[in-house]
Amino acid sequence: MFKRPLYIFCVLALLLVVLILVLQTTLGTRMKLAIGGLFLPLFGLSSAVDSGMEKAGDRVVPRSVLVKELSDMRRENDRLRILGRQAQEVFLENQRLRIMLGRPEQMPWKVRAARVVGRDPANWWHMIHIDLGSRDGVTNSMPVIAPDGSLVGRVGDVGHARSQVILVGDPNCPVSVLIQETREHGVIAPSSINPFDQSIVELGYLSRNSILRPDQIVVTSGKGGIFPSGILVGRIIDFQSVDQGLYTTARVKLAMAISRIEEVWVIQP
Amino acid sequence: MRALHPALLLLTTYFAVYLQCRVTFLRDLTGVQIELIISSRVYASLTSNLATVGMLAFCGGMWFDSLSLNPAGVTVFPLLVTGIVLMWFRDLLLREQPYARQVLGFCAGVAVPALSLLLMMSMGARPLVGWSTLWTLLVLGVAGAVLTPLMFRVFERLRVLFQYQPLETTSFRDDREIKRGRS
Repeated sequence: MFKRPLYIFCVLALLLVVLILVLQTTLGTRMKLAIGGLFLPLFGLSSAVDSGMEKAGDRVVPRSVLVKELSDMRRENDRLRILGRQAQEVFLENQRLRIMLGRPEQMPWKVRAARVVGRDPANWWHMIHIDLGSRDGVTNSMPVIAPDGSLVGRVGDVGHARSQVILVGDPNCPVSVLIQETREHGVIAPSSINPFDQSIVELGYLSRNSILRPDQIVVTSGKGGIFPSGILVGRIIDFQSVDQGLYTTARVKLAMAISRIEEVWVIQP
Repeated sequence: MRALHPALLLLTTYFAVYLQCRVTFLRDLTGVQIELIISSRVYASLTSNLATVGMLAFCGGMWFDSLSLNPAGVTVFPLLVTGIVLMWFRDLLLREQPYARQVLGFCAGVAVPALSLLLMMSMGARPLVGWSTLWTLLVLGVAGAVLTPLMFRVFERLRVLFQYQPLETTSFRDDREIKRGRS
């Protein structure tokens, strides 16, 4: 059925595939970024269409709704301004106390808004694409949070105008966390996946004496060097003992909903 | 015009990869992202030559991996193997029958992701695998079974639109026409 040159073609093609597979990680990543650049026109086009539709939608909103929204926003802004002043006072006090105790100063976050332009086309990873890249100062492993302040993940590979964000719950994004109430430390890992609810992850490495109860808040611990401390991760759903009672693991419902994320904030140092 | 068929296939694969990255409503509904490139792969394997099949596997796989956390090139191998196997046996398959296309779509829909997973795990990557992977493979298989006959219809339409059609010959002959009346 196949002639001899075609057999040679098959062998050469398979050799090429093997060669690509054994490429070093950095070279493979560069190649992926270069090839992914082919999709930039489509990403740009869909972003333009999205913003065009948004603008068209804005034009048909009645004036009364906009006025009401504006007054609500003003009220919210005033409330947040007061809270901001209080927080500023607390922050300065905290800095003074840190200096007195000889502990390193905590720098305030610098955040940059990004739009989510796509998701991982494969079913085996939790990853999104954002429209910020190296030209915007984004680098590998920067933390990413949702507009409500909950943890989204960390930046993975960075292209010129686009970056990958590896989400919490992916095996490539372990997060050191603590339970806010009890200060118990643990590590977030992917759960034995429920395809219908990808927002449930597993909190492992908890001691067997942990005092746990549902609805406790889980935040980042600041250990590990990637995520600053105090970012909301989620809430505990339930827990169980593992390894004949040696450890405890808990299931955590993430605060961010992957399917509803449209915009994120990248925390820059 | 000979290049039109591979060019159309390549363009479809390009847009299919982008759509998989961009459109997520089915993923939100079923928890599984439908893989569109597998159906075009089945069509290509049953209608094209080996060079086209190889080029599509290479381009489709690399494009897919470039937008994913997959190691570079990991999808090329399953697409190539599936394509070559289908091509090998295509003369034995009833490829004109919709049922045969559905079965081939289902098999390819399960085989390509399963092979990708095996390859990734053997390379040391740690994809999200669990009991729900069976559900994922099932949905991908069903999607392949549904989309493959559709893909055939779409490509046949496109072929009719863009390619020269063979001139139909009729049984009418000028020299055999019976002329009536006086000449």
